[in-house]
Amino acid sequence: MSVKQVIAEIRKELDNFTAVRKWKEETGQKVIGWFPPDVPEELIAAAGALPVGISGFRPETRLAEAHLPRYVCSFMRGSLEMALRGELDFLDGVVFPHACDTKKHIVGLWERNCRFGFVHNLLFPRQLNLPSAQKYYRQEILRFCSALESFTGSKITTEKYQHIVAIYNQNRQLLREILRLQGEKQLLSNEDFYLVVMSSMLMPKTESNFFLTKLLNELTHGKGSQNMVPVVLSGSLVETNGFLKILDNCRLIAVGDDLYTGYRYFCLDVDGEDMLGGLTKRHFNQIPYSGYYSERHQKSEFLASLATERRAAGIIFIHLMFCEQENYEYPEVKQYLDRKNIPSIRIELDYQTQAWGQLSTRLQSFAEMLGVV
Amino acid sequence: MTFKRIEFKTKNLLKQTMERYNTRALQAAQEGIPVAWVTAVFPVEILYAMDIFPYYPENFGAAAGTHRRTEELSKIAENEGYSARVCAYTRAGLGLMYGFSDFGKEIPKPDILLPCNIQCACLYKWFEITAKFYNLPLFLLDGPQIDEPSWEVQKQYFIEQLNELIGFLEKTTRKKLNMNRLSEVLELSTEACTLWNKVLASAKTKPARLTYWDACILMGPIVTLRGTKEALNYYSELSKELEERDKGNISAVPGEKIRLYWDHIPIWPRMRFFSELFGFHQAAVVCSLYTHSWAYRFDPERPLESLTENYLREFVNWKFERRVEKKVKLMREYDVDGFIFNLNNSCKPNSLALVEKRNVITEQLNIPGLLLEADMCDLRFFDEGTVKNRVESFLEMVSRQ
Repeated sequence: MSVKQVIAEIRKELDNFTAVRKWKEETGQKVIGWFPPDVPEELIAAAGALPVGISGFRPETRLAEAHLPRYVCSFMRGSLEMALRGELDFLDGVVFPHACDTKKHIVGLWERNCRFGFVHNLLFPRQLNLPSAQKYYRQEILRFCSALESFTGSKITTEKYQHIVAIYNQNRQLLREILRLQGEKQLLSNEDFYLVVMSSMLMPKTESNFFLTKLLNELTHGKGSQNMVPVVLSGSLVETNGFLKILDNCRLIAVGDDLYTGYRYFCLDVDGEDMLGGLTKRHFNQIPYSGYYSERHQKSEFLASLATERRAAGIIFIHLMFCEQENYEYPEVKQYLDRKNIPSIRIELDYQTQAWGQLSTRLQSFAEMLGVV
Repeated sequence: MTFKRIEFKTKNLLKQTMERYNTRALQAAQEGIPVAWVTAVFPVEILYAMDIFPYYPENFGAAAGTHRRTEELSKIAENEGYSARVCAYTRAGLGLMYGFSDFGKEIPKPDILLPCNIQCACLYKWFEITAKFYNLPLFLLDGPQIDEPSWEVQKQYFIEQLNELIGFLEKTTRKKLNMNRLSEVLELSTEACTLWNKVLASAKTKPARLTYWDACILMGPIVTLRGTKEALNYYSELSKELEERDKGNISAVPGEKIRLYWDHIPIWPRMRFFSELFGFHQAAVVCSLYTHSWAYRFDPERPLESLTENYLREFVNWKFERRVEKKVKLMREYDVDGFIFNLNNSCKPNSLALVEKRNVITEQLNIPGLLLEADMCDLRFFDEGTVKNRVESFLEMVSRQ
């Protein structure tokens, strides 16, 4: 079986959420959607439900327009559109981490218009500096656990949790290995790589592990080339066509990122022995994110060292239009990278109204500057 | 337009009070008083009790809007890489910082930055940028939403942070917090809030004695000086003046025919335009959650718990239903005939769900609601012709009902 065939199989499982629907039909259990970032999926799974990442990258929105002002990012707009169209009808519940103002204030619209049996606000600390933050995080985790347990009717036992964690850690290890090989061999297109990451959010992890193992096997034995220029992507998330296709055409290859539909999703394993301690440790050791305040984790330094470590020729900021958090952070990060002589470009993405042609021209020039011939 | 707003006799006292505040802000550095930048919803009573001067850069944002400087300052920020779509207050502040000409002259340079994110995530990002720019200490007071049936977890977290904040302040300013002094400040703050709400309530009478447009100007001291005697003094005088207005049956909008609710922040550069437009049509805007935000009641016996209960329960920190309830309650109390919601692209927390809220409230109260789309400061996002047409046809509709 070739890499292409495995990708085609994965794609088939994602089409119309086939894998999720199949799981639900077979198990009769509940499916709980979550918004990024940093929702501890392990707890959802340990409570007997299937966690599914919600990612609305619709090319057009119609129904959501009646509920939202113009200045909501295309990700949250597209997600609401999907829900309103009934495309997420397999969901029994949704989890909203309050990591930005839009997520915090859009919950009411989901509750009123989508009528899920379970809507949970995950109110994680937005500062990571003080001792109070860790203590509070643990309390929020416990509150999440009891909300999940009473919804699914199933207790999160140590045994179940440890079983889940082992599967999830394996999943992350596989993804990390695939990313490492991307740097070495460039066997997957950008589009396919991020599709693979996304697939892990959209199917049971055991199934995901099966596909990832198969894929990894092909990649390990595949003969790579080195004809694309490596870059790092920075932002919150990336959709799997549009922009990534352009990146492929420009012969730039992502070998690292700080996206929550990318590296952030799988960079850290969790210790299964001590549930609260393990989850807390992971949360507070995560890579920098614009929604949390931390004196220790500086995005500028993180990106510069990631670029160096991954031997990237430059950094592409893919910011969602109307995402203020990413924007506020950008000038300082950009100046830092300039001082370090790391070339970068910032593009603002709106998945519904993007002028892809113009974007392609800009990326093309950036690629040429980085030495793509 | 023929409508002319009735000036307040206590106008000069307000002017002096605010001028003294601003002068003190600028002189604090020379006098060795530490200046802390704070966001509007911040337990500032702790700072007054410690003789730390709290400065509200949001006021500068609003003033830049009022004096039509937002666009000019924003362009400086935009050149630095900030988007024209982020909060206009922050763009003005960043523009001033990078343009540096007036910094330290017009608004005080901070010694410490104390953002609280109950209102939004934009202000703290602005403070974070400023802290990095000047290499200054910052303390983020994190206020998670409290829409859960039980908010004990959030409450304990906030109280713990207040203790951490006090430790941080004592360390950075080398001043000690005296709890008795804090209790005194809390009493002063509560008294000022009570008077302020009495002032606002004089719009309950028919005709109203003051409008929302007045209140947006009169609110200066309750925002900046709550917890001080100056605030108390000003609101006692203002309150007396409103009693006089009541006795003399003086109406803020002569011949008041329509009573309205305006949600949240005004469009600062066009305050006069709106005041005159509504006044001309004998429409009094009588209430807003914005001006009613400062209604704190502290218990001096339980300072930190009480600060938490008040600040964490600020209206913006509740979920959809509770926020609708709060709006409806005000609309009922002030007996309004309609309401205006502005989709303010500078402020997601206050306007993201307004389309839906309009429908819910109209259904509940059977009164019409108008949706406007304009930035609170940046006139590049304001189309006067459209706004005027929409307001006028709305008023026509309201008066027909």
